[in-house]
Amino acid sequence: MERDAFIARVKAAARAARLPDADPPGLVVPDLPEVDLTEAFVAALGRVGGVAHRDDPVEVVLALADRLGTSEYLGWDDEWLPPGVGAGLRHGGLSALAGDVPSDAEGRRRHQSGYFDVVLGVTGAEAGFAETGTVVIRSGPGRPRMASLIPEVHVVILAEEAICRSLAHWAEANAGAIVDAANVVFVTGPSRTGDIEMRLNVGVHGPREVHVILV
Amino acid sequence: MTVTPVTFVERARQAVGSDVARSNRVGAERLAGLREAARQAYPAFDEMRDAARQIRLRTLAHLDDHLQRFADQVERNGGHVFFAADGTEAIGYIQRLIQDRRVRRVVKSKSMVTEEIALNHALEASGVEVVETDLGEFIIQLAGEHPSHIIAPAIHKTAADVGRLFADKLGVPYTDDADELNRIARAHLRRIFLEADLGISGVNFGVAETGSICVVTNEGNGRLVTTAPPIHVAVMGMERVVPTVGDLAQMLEVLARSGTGQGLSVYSNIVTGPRRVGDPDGPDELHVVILDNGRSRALAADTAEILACIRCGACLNVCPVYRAVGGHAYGSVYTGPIGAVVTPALMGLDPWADLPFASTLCGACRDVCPVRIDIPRMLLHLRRRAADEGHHPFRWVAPGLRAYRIAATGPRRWRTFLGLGALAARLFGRSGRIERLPFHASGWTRFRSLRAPAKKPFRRRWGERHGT
Amino acid sequence: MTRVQLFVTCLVDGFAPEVGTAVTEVLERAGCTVEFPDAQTCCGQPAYNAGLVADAEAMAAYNVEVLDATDGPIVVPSGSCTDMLVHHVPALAEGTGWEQAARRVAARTREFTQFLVDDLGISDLGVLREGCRVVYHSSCHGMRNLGLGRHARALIDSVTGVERVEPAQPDQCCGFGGLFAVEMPEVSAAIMDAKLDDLEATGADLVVGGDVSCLLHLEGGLRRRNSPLRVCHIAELLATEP
Repeated sequence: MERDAFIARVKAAARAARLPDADPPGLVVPDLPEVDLTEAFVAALGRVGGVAHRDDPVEVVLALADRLGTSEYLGWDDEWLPPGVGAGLRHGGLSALAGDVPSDAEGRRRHQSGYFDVVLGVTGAEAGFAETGTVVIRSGPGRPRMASLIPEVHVVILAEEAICRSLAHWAEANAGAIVDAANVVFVTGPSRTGDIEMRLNVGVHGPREVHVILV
Repeated sequence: MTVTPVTFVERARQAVGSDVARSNRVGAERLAGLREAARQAYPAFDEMRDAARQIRLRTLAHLDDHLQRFADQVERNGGHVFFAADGTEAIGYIQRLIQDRRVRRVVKSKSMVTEEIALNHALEASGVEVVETDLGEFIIQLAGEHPSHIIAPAIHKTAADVGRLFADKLGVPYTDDADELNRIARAHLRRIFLEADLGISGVNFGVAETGSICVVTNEGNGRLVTTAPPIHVAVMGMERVVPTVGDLAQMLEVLARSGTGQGLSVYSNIVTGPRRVGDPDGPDELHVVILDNGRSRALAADTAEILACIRCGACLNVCPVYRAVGGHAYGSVYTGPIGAVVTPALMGLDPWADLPFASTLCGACRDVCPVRIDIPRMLLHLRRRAADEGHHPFRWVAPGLRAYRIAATGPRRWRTFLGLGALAARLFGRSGRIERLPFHASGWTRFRSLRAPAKKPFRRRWGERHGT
Repeated sequence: MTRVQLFVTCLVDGFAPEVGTAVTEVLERAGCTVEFPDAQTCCGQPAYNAGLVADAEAMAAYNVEVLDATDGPIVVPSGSCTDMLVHHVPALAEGTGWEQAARRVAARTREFTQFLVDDLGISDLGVLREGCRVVYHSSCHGMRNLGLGRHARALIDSVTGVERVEPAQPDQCCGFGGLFAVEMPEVSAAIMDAKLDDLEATGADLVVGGDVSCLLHLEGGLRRRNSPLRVCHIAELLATEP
């Protein structure tokens, strides 16, 4: 249907609608008890099955790579990770997979098929929510979406001072920034499903493990 | 081949006591418990539900404005918008796109609105392979069934059922170990994601001020479907828009807590246009299909409030009717209390008139709804409409209640009516109880004994006590 | 002496007159003079819930007229009938000649336990019973639309000799639902069975409730199960005359 006709029909319906009265909305930023944000974040992350680290990021990633038996990772470019991390990983023997997907369909298919066996991903995050153990990951130049999505193990390097109280607290200050990227995702722990007999299972499609390194 | 009975009453009769109903009940009770725990753990929750309600109601009151702004923004971000009056138009647009881009294989993340318009069926009929990637949806797609719960579609299947299904359809060795089954599904679907030509998702919330769409999942398939393929088609029920990003945050705060008791679902994925210059990955094209399909009809009527629904499933989990019969008895993609209103509201009372009567009006749904929709009120509106428009599903109710009304609008007639009851007690009662009622009323006595009407009704006792 | 009007409800009138007698006795012991406007019939809820609004209006208007010709609080031994008179009847009357009368009646109408505890401030009538374990069934309309529940529980707790227990899912419906019980009997019975299982599991001797509709339905199911669990209206628990 033509846009104008569609909208006209909706407009007529909205005018005729018998809806209860509503007050002007405002984001409810809850009055939550004072907590140590880092401690609360670590606890919440643990409750959703993620693991928090406070050691050197390069050491943590290298240890994980060793455990996984891999020498590759899919991740953010050096300039988007804390200084020295990228170089440190290369120095430790890891190589970063190319994250740039060609824009022709066949090239895309070929490139992304290569992701099938990727087991390690390394990204940063621009914020964390203490209430839920969530990290905010913005994709863009040098920061492929796939890095936090396709690998079995996802490592997130998060600055402690970027942890805020909850989603509502973050949104109050940062909502406008959503449009600065084609993709922003709130990630709360490893991928999960209860779809078979309501028994929790992790790593169905997204990462099976989420490690957040606090710096 | 089983023929699906036409009415809720008939489907419910078959469903009561079945394994499916039993599994639905267990799942529902568990999810209801998780929601209650989340509510108690988060003191701001009820206040947030009030705010969420205000957002949804105000949005509906000015839905045309918000949709216009949303569409403008999507286009400004480099996306395409198509307005579909109904399922046929939506399917037509998607099929033209598929033909034009030579798409052979489509991956989908869970979307009730695409099931509402039977999109998969239409695409498959035109030779396209469509793969559902939400694990529960993948399972029921393999099984050729409909979902039995809004957010836990395969809640009625045991691990053994799934093991047999996978062995049969995927050619893998049988196992009933849930972990192994998940691994099988992951490997199978991963290959498909990475090589698919087009991804179709639903939209949990569209944001008018930015033209963003938010897709919420726990599994990550919502992200893979909207990241890996070169083209992303997002199908959005037109009522699923909110004005601002702050409003989106408010809705996300109440959505997962209500549905599963989680603080937030694992992935709240916010997409604002196709990939931008310099982005390493993401789809090159974004198409948003905005669907009416009866929503403007529901909006214009006394059922407008039902469009505030955010599809969390909380109402199903507490509903005594849903717990007794399970999801399939509702006969439609939308089940439980929400389904009892939305299905007739969108698609008309013919043939859905018995759904609004599939309720005791207990109100448990309204108690748990994150946007506090007054479902009982809307059920009553629909019942009234069914009666007024000649769609009342129960033949004997209207004449029976007319007779009752005559008896109840005159004191002598009422006394006569009570006298008839006393007579029935003398004729059919045994030790003060009636074990078999005739004809239609046998519905009662099939499962319950009935106390016989009093031989001396209250007013006669009063009269004797007070000498009147 | 508070003069009150008893709106006894159609089910009490026809099926459970002893409840009406018990309500009268309890109100008198609580210091009220009870009057019974005997032209009363049925509030119209069965027709209203069935979508037959014209029939509901006729019954409601008739009873509003009967009650409006009286004074004082109107006491109703049923949560759902109180809900009907207080919330739905004024809405039905809107824009008609009997709108004001409906509002007046709604403002005076109280459910029985609500009246005792909130209006008269009485939650202990000094009742004595031999050892008895009671489970309270909180009927849905009264619980959710009138906030009933704490009143009845307080009254039950005040009875010497009674131990009150709670079922695992106190807020779940009994499955009566009006005509639903006859029109969708399998579903109604399935819900009832879940409720009866829960009530029996408490080990109670007696189910006490505020709505005769729910109680007739539960009692009917219990009889079919040959259960020793008995059922009564809260007024009967609080009355001293048998």
